[in-house]
Amino acid sequence: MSQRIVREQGTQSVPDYQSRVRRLALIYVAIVLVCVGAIVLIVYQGKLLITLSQRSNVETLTLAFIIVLFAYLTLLSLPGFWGALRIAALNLPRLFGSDAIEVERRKQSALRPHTGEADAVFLNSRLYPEDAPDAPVELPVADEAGSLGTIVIDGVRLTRREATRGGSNSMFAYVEQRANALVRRRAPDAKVEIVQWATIDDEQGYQYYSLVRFSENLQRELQTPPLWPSYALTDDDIATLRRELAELCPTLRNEALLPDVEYSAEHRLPIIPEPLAFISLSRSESRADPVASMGCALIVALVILAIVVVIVLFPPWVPAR
Amino acid sequence: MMTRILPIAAVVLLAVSTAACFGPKPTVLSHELEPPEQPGQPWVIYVTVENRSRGEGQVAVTARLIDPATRDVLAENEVTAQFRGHETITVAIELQPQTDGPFEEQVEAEYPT
Repeated sequence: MSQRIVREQGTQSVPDYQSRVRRLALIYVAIVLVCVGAIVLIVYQGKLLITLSQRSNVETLTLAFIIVLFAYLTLLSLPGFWGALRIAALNLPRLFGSDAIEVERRKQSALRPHTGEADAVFLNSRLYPEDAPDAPVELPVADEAGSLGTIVIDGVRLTRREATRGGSNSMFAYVEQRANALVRRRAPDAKVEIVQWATIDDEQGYQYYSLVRFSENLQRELQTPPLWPSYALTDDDIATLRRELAELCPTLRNEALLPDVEYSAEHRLPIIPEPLAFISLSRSESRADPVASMGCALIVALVILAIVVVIVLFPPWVPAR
Repeated sequence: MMTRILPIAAVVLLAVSTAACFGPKPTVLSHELEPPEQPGQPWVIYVTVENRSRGEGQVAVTARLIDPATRDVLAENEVTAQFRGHETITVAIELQPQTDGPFEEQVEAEYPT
């Protein structure tokens, strides 16, 4: 559940991924509209809200905190809002019958090449081509409109070479989930999962990778079967992944126009509230998909806006002067 | 089915439990200005206010007499009234303008005070 909702949301299939990117774009637009609407409402209804806060012994500064929170969320989501507008503008010609490849070429030309170190994630199991156990698997992410790079599966490490700027780790999550499904057709007990995300915690990631490399070196030295859990990808599997990634390209171009918000997540549940929080429960996830993290931000913004609207429409009882 | 009903029931329960915390929703129904019976006495404006909510609380009723030519406020006064749910109250507000008119009346009922 946490994998499908928090870590890797909407990466089970191409249609899943398409709706995930649409959802993410809508979330950014909704956050900006909700936050700007809330700020305007609080300022416009300032007299009423300040009077209520003063008469009910609530700090008036709470209103300032809410304005600051909404302003922060707006600033955080503005690149996503702008990206969503660009997605809409670049895809609009499709509605008027323009050639799909021409539209994709225009989107491709809007993307800039990725600079710096290639993004990487690490799997819990090694994946290798069936006919060449030591060779990497190369999966071009390209279609007729252009290339978005190449995903290279080298044992447990997945990297994206010659990539364009933008996009998210969800592309790796897609490859992982599809590879897992393909491998499980032959080995039902297999579980291929990303366990380290270098863009979020590179130290942990490369520490883990060194351990895997150690096992590979030991295996070669001892000339034994693989020491680390390993699964083969057949030619058909690789062809399937390549075909699906080509299908995914238009969606990945849309996603590349949205900001890449990659963070780990922690949920805390204090048993005894602050400041006496002697006991609290917490749960952490190594990665929170932007749909999950920004979706939560949207829910919080909506709830606060709903409370403000209810207070404005139905002012609560306050003691007489 | 239960998983859908439970959150809806929780929201309804929350709404019902907070209903008693609402304040009044005052609306001015009518107002009538009466001149002083004798010179030197104040003008009185009778304002009928209806509370359109079941909530209760203190409402401030403000009346102003305005010079229609210059838009200057010639007199202003405020009285407070305690409203119960769906109650209609007529309040009398005394005003002492420096001239004999003509006036434009302006009244408003505000909550919270």
